[in-house]
Amino acid sequence: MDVEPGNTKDHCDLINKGGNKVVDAVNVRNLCKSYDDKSALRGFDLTVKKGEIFGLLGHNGAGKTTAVECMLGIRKKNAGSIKLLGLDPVIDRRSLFQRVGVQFQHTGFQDKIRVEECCRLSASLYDNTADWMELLEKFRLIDKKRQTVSDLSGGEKQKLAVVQALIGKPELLFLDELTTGLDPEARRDVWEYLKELRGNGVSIVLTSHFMDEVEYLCDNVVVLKQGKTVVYGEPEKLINVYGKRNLDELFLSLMKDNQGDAA
Amino acid sequence: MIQSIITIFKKESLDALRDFRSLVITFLFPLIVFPAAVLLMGNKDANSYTISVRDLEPALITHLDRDPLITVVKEPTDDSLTEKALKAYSLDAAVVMYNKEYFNAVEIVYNNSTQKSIEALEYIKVKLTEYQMNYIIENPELPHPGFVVTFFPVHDVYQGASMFILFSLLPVLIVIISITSPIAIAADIFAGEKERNSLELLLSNPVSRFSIVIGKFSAVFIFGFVGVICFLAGFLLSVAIDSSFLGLSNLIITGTQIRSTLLLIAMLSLITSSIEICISIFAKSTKEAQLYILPLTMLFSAVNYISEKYFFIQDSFLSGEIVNYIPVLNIITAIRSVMMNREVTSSVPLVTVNLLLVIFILCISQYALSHEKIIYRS
Repeated sequence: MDVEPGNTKDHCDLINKGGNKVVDAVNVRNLCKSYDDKSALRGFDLTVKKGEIFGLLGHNGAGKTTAVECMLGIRKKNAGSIKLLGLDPVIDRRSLFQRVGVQFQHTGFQDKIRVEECCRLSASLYDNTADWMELLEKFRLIDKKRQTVSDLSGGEKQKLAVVQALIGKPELLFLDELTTGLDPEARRDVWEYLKELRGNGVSIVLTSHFMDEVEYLCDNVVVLKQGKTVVYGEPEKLINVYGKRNLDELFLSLMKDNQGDAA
Repeated sequence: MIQSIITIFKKESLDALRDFRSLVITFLFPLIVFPAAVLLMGNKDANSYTISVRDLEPALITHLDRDPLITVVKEPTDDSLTEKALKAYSLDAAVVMYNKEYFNAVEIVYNNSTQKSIEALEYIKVKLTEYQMNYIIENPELPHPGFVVTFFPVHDVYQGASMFILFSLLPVLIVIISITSPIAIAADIFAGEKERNSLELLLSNPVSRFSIVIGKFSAVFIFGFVGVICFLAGFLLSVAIDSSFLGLSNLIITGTQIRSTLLLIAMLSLITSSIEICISIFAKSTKEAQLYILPLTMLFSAVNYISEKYFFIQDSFLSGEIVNYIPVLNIITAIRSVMMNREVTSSVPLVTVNLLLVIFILCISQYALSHEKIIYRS
């Protein structure tokens, strides 16, 4: 199924008309959001299939975070529809977030809480939980479990945020600037783990400024500019269609080419 | 839902219990404020007594006045040796002699509600005995000047140190401590989450906003309630250290008083905690939350002032039924009643209206927590 770059709606419709009743992990239609008189999202569409890693790209202020916050039901949309795992993020909050994990880039923690307490308390909120000791081990935090969060480095806090997002055995993961602050080795570890999760059918929505990461991990990407979708599709195909060497080059050219549109 | 509430409560409590600043503000300061005052200011002139005398023999007056611990002041010109005289002249005791021609009847008037006055009585008794002994030794041929000493205790419930402490100072301090002791945890509980950018994550957990509000509110309430209990424990400790300083040597606490006080403090803490977390939700930073919470002490002190001013006026609205239906005012008035060992009537409307107010404030908090402009206010 070939998808023309930028033809988001067709892509979504094709999936929906597919005949089978597989519920999309994320289904967003015509999402509009404005702050006072400034439009942050203008008719944003997004479909993320089960077991897919989806990259949400764009400059700072492009609307990525607003899109994620609207999808999570924290921000109120002005128009459009949002379904996560077939559920409404506002109405079905409690049951939905049993199945969704979230990691925000700048999330802080209470300083005096120990790592293990942080995990234990998070785990107690979910009906079905992963073995958080195993997760700590996987993310090389097991030695730090007795330490307070204030004693962790920035990268370790970032990894703890990911562990927290994974504690509830999510079917859908939102990861915001996942590997910012991580050393190259830790980044690689996280990438491999995300691939493993994808193999287990977990859907992931990833926002990132690292194009190598997106290219390596994502099955599909959407590039946002000033609240509008610029292109949408598989990274490899997009690179070929636009005749670029890699996603980084493509991203930069798209940002340049569409300056007129943004105006 | 209960599990979620407990988790939120645990999370907040653990963090606060490990924060030295929170512990000092919440527990240590309320606990030491009274004992510190007693240790720093108490016992300064506990053994120096100011007394007035009337119709005493000059030799006896000289004997009393020569004592370094006794200051004999001029005899009051008005109706002396009454409770008014003790009050007007700041006397610890007054000594008067009756029927000098027939027998030496000495009456000592003192205030039995202050330790210092009670001590003055005992000291004067010693001095009279001493005077008798000296008189017998110096004048062995003269008749025995035996005194018939009577005591006239005065207990003025409207005045005196004990009255000031129990009626005025203690209720207003309870009100202030109930607001200030949980301020560190309350200000941080939502405003701190905003500062740390962790509120969005909290709202992305499988926890209802109701559970979040109730869990956090419970933590603030427990800290506030225990803070006030610490303050009262500190107060009782200071009475044990030096009851004369506080004028509470005769302080008797009944089981009913303890039960009523605990219930009223719990009610007060429910109100203050709910207001504080509501402020914390609206505030964009911990600092701003503290800035908005502190004026509550003035507001509640004003309510306390109304309660104090009209408490004893029979025709005031405080003596009527209506006060039972005014939240906060009814709690403070009831605390005052308990302190004065009066019976608290109409506890049902008191509990009902205050609980309704707490529920109303919590509903506003829950609504605010689903309001985007408040969540992202920074």
